[in-house]
Amino acid sequence: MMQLDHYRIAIRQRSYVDVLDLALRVLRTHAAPLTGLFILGVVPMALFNAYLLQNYLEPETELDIPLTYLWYMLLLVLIEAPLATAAITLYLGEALFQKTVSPRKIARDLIRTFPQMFFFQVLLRIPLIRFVAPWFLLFGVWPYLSEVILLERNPFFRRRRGAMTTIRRLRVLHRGMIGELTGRWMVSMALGGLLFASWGLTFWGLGGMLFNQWEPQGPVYTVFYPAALWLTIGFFTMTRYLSYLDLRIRREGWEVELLMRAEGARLNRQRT
Amino acid sequence: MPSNGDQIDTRIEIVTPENIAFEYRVAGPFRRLPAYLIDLGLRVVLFWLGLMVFMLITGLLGVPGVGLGAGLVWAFLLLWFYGGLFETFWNGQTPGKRMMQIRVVTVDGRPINGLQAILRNILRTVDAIGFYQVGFVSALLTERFQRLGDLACGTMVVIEEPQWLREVLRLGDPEVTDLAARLPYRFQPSLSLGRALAAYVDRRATFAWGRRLEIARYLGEPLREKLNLTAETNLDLLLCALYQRTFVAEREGETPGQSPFAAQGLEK
Repeated sequence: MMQLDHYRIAIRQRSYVDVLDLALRVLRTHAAPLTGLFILGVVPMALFNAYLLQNYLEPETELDIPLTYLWYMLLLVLIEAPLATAAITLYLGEALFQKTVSPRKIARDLIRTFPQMFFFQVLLRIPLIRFVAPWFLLFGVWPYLSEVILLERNPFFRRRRGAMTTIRRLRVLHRGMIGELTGRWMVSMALGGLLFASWGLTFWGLGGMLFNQWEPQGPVYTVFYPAALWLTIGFFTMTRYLSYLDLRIRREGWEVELLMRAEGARLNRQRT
Repeated sequence: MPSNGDQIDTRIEIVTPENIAFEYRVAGPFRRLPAYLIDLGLRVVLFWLGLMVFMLITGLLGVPGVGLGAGLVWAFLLLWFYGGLFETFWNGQTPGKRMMQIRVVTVDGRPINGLQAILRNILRTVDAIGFYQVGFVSALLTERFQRLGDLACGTMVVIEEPQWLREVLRLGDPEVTDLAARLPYRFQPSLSLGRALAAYVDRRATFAWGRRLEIARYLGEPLREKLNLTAETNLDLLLCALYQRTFVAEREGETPGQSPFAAQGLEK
């Protein structure tokens, strides 16, 4: 549970571009653990994908591009992303709102939340993800699904009348915000595309300069393409977490609560 | 807002040689991107307009080749000096920056000079290496989101935050007015308490009823005790009443102007 008394991040409402800039500041402050968790989560998935798609690398078009490979790789990364980056979200929840970060607690929460994560983020998505049209439903309607499952840890089924469940919490959190969240989703898609292109082309340029390999083959598909995809996913995991905080700040008035607490404490000190 | 120096934020504090401290919000790459795109679009439009004018004039004079040459010189000037000249004469702003409300200043908060403006824009070519990855990584690694051009010139880009007076909300609830009239006049809220009250009243309508009471309790309970009010006093109403007494009544001249807010507004 987040503790507003021990927050390590300035609590106030922010615009989306400010959230994106703040993500860079968070990355800079927590670079080592975030990189470590990113590698831990992503490398096994990336190796698994490479093994799974090794037979699809044959060029299929006149342009010598393995389109099926590229498409399947994108789908696999999108399916795996919530699980691969879950530890990063849990770490941010701990690091920004707790006095100390406990790796054991992160591991325990990861295991505890795995069934819901697998059900909502993998099983429900697989049938629809190969069609581009419903991507908005999958990623845009309840964008903070992972954060709610991982950080709020509501039960899947209602055990008593009126109890909060994951789905009910998702409805409450996102209610009345669909317009704004859709706008943010579209901006993040555009920025994600830009970042992906920027990283991908940079890797390609570096590969060309270092190994004199300018033809789009081999490492361009097997290393640079998935690396650019995963880096983009990793960055947007952080921005999504910070956007989730921003949404809660606005909905629940955290910054007002902090002011109220501070003034209340000041009045209490004056009385005693 | 309670805060401490360890908190992650995009605000930085600058202390002037006169030992005056003030805060800036620095603009990171994502805040600056829309301004850059606006300026890029404007440069493209200016280039084509200039080229058409040059071609038209030189075409009428029968020397269209000169028009093309002039167009290339025009493109060179736009590419290298558009940002520098605007930032020199518009006090650290280009049209894009002005629209996005950001400004280039020196790292100690002073206006930039012409040399800094032109040099930081020329060095943009270095930042643009690797599809702006050099500038992006540099901004990521520096406290003030500085790209290499900024680091070389001792500049940074800050967000302009206009200070304006918070609009006084008239709550218009008879219960609030009634409770406000019963509050003891000897109690005058401090500036920080006034800010907290203003923030609460400004946002309370966006909270669910239960959450509103939960938030009001932190300040409402000690206030209720301090003002010797009964335990049945609604804490949400109490905060609204104190707000009304402090801001609305003061402005309407109903009470003597003892409060620190009588002569000044609250900064939002």
